[in-house]
Amino acid sequence: MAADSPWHYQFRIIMLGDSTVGKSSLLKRYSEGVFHESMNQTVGVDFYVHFMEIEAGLRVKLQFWDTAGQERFRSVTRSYYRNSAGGMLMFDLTNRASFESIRNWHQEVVDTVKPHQVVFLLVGHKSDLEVERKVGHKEAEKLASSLGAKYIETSAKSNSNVEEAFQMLTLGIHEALKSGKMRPTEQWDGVKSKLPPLAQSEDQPQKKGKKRCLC
Amino acid sequence: MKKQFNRMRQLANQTVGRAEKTEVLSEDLLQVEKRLELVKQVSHSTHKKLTACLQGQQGSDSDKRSKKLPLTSLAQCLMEGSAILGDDSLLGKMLKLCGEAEDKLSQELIHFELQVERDVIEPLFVLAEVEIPNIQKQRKHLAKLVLDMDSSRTRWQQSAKSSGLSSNLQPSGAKADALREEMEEAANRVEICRDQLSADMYNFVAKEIDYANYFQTLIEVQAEYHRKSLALLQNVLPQIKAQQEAWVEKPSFGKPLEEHLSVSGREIAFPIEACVTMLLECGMQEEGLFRVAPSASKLKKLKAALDCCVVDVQEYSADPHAIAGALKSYLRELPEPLMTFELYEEWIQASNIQDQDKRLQALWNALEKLPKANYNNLRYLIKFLANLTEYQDANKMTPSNIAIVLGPNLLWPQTEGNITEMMATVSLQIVAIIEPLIQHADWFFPGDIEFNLTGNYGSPVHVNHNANYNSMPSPDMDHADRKHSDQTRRPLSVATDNMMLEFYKKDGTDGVSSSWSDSCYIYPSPEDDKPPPYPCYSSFHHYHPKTGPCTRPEPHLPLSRWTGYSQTLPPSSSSSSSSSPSPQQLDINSNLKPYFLHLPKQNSLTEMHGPETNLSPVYMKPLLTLSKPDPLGTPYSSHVSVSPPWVSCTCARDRGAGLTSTLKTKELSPVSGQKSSPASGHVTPCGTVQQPPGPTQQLSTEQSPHTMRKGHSSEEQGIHSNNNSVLLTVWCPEEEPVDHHHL
Repeated sequence: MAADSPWHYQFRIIMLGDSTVGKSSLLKRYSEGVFHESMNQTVGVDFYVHFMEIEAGLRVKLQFWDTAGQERFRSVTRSYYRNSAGGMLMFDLTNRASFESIRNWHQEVVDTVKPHQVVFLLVGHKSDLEVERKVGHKEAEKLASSLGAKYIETSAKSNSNVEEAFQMLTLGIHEALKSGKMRPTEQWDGVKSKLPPLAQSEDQPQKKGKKRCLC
Repeated sequence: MKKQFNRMRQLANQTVGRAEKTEVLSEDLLQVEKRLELVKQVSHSTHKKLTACLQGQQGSDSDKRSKKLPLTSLAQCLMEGSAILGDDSLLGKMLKLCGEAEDKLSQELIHFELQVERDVIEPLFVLAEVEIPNIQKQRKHLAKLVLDMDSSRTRWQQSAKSSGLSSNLQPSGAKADALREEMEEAANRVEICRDQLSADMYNFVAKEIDYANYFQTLIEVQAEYHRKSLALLQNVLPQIKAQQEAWVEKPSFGKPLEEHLSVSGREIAFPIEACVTMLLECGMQEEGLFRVAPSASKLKKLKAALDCCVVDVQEYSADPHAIAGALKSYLRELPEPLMTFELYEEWIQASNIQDQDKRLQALWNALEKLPKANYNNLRYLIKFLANLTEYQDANKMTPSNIAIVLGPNLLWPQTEGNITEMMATVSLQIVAIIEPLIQHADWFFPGDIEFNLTGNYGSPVHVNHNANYNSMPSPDMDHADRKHSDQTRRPLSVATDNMMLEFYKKDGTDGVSSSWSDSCYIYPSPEDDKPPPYPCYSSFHHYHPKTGPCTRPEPHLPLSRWTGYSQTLPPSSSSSSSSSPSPQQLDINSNLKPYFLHLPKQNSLTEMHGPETNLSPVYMKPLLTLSKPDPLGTPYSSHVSVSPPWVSCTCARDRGAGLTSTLKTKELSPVSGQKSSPASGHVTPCGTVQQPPGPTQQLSTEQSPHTMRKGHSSEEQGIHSNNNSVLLTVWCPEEEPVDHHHL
């Protein structure tokens, strides 16, 4: 029955970080495989969709909410935090200020989604610009662990670690689901499940049938 | 001894009631007697409490007294503080004013206390501790006398009785006489004492009104004191307020525009002018200016610095994003958007108009309705942004990009409640408002603008304020020294100033004495004069010299008579445009500024532009016309007749002005340099030479800059289509978004 459904899970992931760190570029590279030297600015919130098979036969639909980094749009983007299962905290490796903003971004999300949880991944972007690097790998890792997140360095331009980054975050969310830290509910759009895995089927066997009817 | 014994016995008998006690006082006086004690008690305690109310040392003279007053020491402290801070600073001034006021208050207080002491406390003391005790003493004396009288009477009666019983009357006669005499004498003394006492007691009763008057006096004196103090305070309050208001360096962030402008006596808000001036110096080439987020701490610091008008331009020249961020913050934190709440609907409606010409017209109309302060500041800002787009190959900020980033900071609806919705849906409309404003800045806001208006980034007060730290330049000071002290006092202007010095050094002119405001133009460097990357990007700029506020041309007129660029213009338009410049043009042209006369590096510039122009004839740099050999050898005006028609369309004013600065030169690039002559009142279009559009085609498809731009700029279209998709998703964020990809 899993085979006939396009996806078994849907994770909503929000892209966070100062403007121009490369949120949209990374998404475009990941979902469309392209890289534009000059991207248009995101107004409000944009979205992308991608499918990933995290285990054999287990397909996840990733729904990305790409937020505008511009301060003026902060109030818009904030309303998308709550229904997110994953948060990609992005900074520009060549822009120290964007790295320093990460804590604020993280705090803002954590404060907004309480008591829900969001799985974070810290992403140092534009790793191709090694010469212009302003943020060291060590300190970024340190920050990530203090936020309870993993860290990865990516480049949309050179297509480095792009797949890996999204995989890390997706697996992280899946882990959280399996361990019960996170569970899909009707009121929450962060995670939707059509095929509850083992850990869940014990808890909520009725959910399976209900969900199936809807599709 | 015996007498004393008798008195004791008499007293004892009277006390136990065996003997009759003579009451010499009337009933009234007995009442008074009781009252005396009460009044004494009350007066005593009142005096005590009242004395406790006095702050000054009692009994000492007023000088000594004043030194002990807490208020006096406060005043002293304030005055000393004022001396330390310098009464040129606002805080110092305030301390001084307050110190003076407090000192006067303390004087009033001393005066008041002295008066209370003299007119209330002293009399109360006398009443409680002298007058009433005296009466009471007399009363006791009277009692003693009465006792004496009673005892002598008793003895006399006893002796009379015993003599009567023993029946020998005579022998006892002498003794009885003595006793009677004693008795009468005692009665006499009682009489005198009683009268005296009665007089005192009646006097006391009669004087009750005087005693009551002490309290009236207290209140009166108190009222007078408070009245005087109030008058004093009210007197000083306007001074304090005036000081407060006169202080120009009020925080500007978050304050209404009008208030900030009127307080500071500025035309352009300080943060706007300061940021723009700084960005002109160090930010124009910065990639993603206004888009890239600055460091939060840097931004905070710069905002605070701008709020007190002290900006170290050197420090921020390395961080243009912080400057741009501060400018955005200022605009965003205005209580009312620069483009006003009132016109919000009108702006939005204008952006919804499909017809490009009509839309521009509608935007124009809305602009016209802006309050003067808002209009001036918006014009200033848009002119700067238009300027910024000329560096878009370096900074990558196209008009559309700038509009996306800055638009939401320039206009938002009054009902902030649903800012979320507003931002998502309306910000696109706002982009559609701001973008054309930037693109057609020269059409919307004809004329050139001086970006560094005040040059001096400290108000005069500010200069004084800093005089405590930097010695004021004295008139006989060396010129260079003064320059130096100016720099230290106005850190923002350091860069400009140095630049200006360099400028004049190169030019070989003594420009040190030139005004600050001249220094805003960036000295033209060869790199700056590269041809713009997108010759056709905004290849439409029409220009109407501003002859007066009421003569701003109707925008639809030039648009309807718009004709495409070609080497062979229709005779009518050619003749009209090549006719001699109108008086206005000449006026503007002849309005030469001091730096204009220097014509710095004119030759090198023209040399530089020569080849470029040959390569791409589209570029219509007026400099080209100057570099061409002038067959008639006449000054500028003759160019009109010998130049190609499109050159003649260029306003004579721009030819002159174009030499003065890079900014101008850039403006005169083909894309922006097209100016229509006011006489012809229409716009000269620009196309590529390789593809000269036919006249009919132009009329049908290129009615406005927008239609033309649309055709040329696929990138622009990309943005629009992209935005549209955003719009859809944002409208219904909770619904399942339409997947971009196959399912």
